[in-house]
Amino acid sequence: MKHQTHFDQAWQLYLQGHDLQSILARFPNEKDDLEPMLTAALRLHAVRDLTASAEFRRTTRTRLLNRIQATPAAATRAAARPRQRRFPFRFALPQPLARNSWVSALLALAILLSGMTATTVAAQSALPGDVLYPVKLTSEDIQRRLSSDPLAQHITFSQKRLAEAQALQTQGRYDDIEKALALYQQELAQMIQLLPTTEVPPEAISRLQQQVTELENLDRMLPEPQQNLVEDSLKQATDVLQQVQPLAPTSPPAQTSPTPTATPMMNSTPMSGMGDAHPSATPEMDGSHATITPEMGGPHPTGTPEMGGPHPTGTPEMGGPHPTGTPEMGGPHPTGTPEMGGPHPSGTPEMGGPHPSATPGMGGGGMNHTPTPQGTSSPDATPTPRMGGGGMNHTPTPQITTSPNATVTPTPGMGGGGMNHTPTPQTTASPNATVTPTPGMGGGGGMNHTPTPQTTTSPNTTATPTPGMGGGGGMHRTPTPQPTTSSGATATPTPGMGGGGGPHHHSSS
Amino acid sequence: MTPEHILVARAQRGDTEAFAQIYDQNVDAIYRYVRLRVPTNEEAEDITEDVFLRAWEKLGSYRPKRPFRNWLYRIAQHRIIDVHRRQPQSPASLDALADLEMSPADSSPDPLQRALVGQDIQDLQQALATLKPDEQAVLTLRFTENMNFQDIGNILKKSAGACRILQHRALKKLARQLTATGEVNA
Repeated sequence: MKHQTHFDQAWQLYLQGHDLQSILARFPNEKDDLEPMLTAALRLHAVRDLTASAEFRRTTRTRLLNRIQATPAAATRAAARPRQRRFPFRFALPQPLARNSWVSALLALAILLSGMTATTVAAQSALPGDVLYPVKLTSEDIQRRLSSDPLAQHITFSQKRLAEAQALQTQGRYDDIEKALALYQQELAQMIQLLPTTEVPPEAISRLQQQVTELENLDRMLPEPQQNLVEDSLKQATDVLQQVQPLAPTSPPAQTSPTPTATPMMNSTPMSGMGDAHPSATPEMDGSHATITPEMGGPHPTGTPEMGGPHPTGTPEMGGPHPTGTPEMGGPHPTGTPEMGGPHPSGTPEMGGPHPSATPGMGGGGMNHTPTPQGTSSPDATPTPRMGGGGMNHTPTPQITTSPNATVTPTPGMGGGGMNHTPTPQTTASPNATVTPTPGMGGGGGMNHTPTPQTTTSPNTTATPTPGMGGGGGMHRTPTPQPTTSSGATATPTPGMGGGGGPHHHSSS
Repeated sequence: MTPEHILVARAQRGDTEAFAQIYDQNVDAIYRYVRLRVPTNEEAEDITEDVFLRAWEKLGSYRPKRPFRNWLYRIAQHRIIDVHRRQPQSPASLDALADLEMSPADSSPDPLQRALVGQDIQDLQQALATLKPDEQAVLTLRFTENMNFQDIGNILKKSAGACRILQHRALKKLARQLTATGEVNA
């Protein structure tokens, strides 16, 4: 983006009469990038006087005139053509019906409407560059005109454009990604025009935040030469987000998550609409640290890969609670990476404290949960509240656990289907850790996971997740097998009832 | 109504002389646009002639909302892509190099200068040939034809922002290509 701007400025200077060296002198930091680009541009500019040979011009003119005099222009031909009948279907009908022009017209209309409907339905999965994509845009335009909430429409359609860009990325259709992102930017531009007269609900802000996160992810996924495709969109989305945030009547609920405190206790309190929960209790004690990592703990609940339901997981890599949800579209599916556990009130010897940072999933339910291990002795919590129809808000708490008791107390969420996970700043690592999630009340799907306030990390660990009842998706989790050394742990997961899958639980000891 | 629109309107009514004037006003620009995109002068001339022939045939579909020349560029772009599909790019021969003509060279009595100009076009054409058709188009329209992103976007059916991004990416590629062949810094 910067480079583009610098180059455009440099090129304008050239067109104003500055020479190359003086232009480069104005951009000392960008000189290495700008010089070859300017030189290439100058090479192209140098042939601006290239013309066809005089002979070619002359002979072609003569030949062309001879040919076009024998070929009337299309406009002229069209004017001379007799007018066609209105209803071309008329003579395809049996004579009695064909005599009635109303029947012909109605039949033609019915065929036309059914054809249009089928085409429109088929077009809904079209991507930019596909033949049916213009049909999709047209049908969206109709929806837009019929809608009484234009802001919501713009957000919805911008989300669609983003989803299309992501789908195109997976197919490697980078040229078409440009089209999708150009349309995305149009949606944002139209959204901005509405802002002065429209109240912005908190949901809109969180959906925009999701989009920013998704753009960042898309940017990371694109190969290097294509990464600049996303820059404009990302900047614009960030700008819009900055503009809408002050317009919100109230802050999004998820932003009210507890702030980190320096107490040795930590509470993990999932709030609304959980799509998933990952209670992980791995007994491990390291003196003053309550640790739930498998190296030191005894038996602990371990989720198997691709599990639909909630399951306690302790990973060998992580000690502290490092939930990091990454957004993914189409319904959050929590996927635990080998390094992750759910909310772990723990700290490994290597990683003194938890750095929870959660970004939302989106869609109908479920969540993506990809905690990354970060070890510090003074963990900072970075709550990033997101909300929406079905994402997950995971706002883990910031604080370390150094006391001998760890208590994780999630409460049932009531969101639209995602998961809000807002651990409170109380973690008590004690010799006994008990994680007992209870079902949440997510409307859209996924699981609500409400661990009970007890986390016992020492000799015995009990994790008892109970499934939520979301409609949109269960939870997927991919924990790694974990070595355990502690005396005993009990994991009692109950299958979830989400549409996407129930929980699978694998306990290892 | 601009003089160009008047000419086009006359041509649309079948006035061949008006179309001949349109040809005179645009033939060099179209030839230049095509010439940088195809390896030989003969191909460039054939395509240029074909562009005007097609323009005449499709004249009824032109709507004077945008400059007529942009419409011609669009026809040229389609023709170039068609040619590339049918016959993949091959490096131009020295014979083709000798065929190159341009006005500065025409006016120069110095054969060396003429050859240098021809060589420059040849190098550019070969470097451009490594880019995608849209990238070639955006660079030639922007830097050879001095067009703004809005007009380029109209021709390529892209937004101005997308054209700007495309230009930046394509120019980097072209610079790398020219640098690789030792042209930029030579």
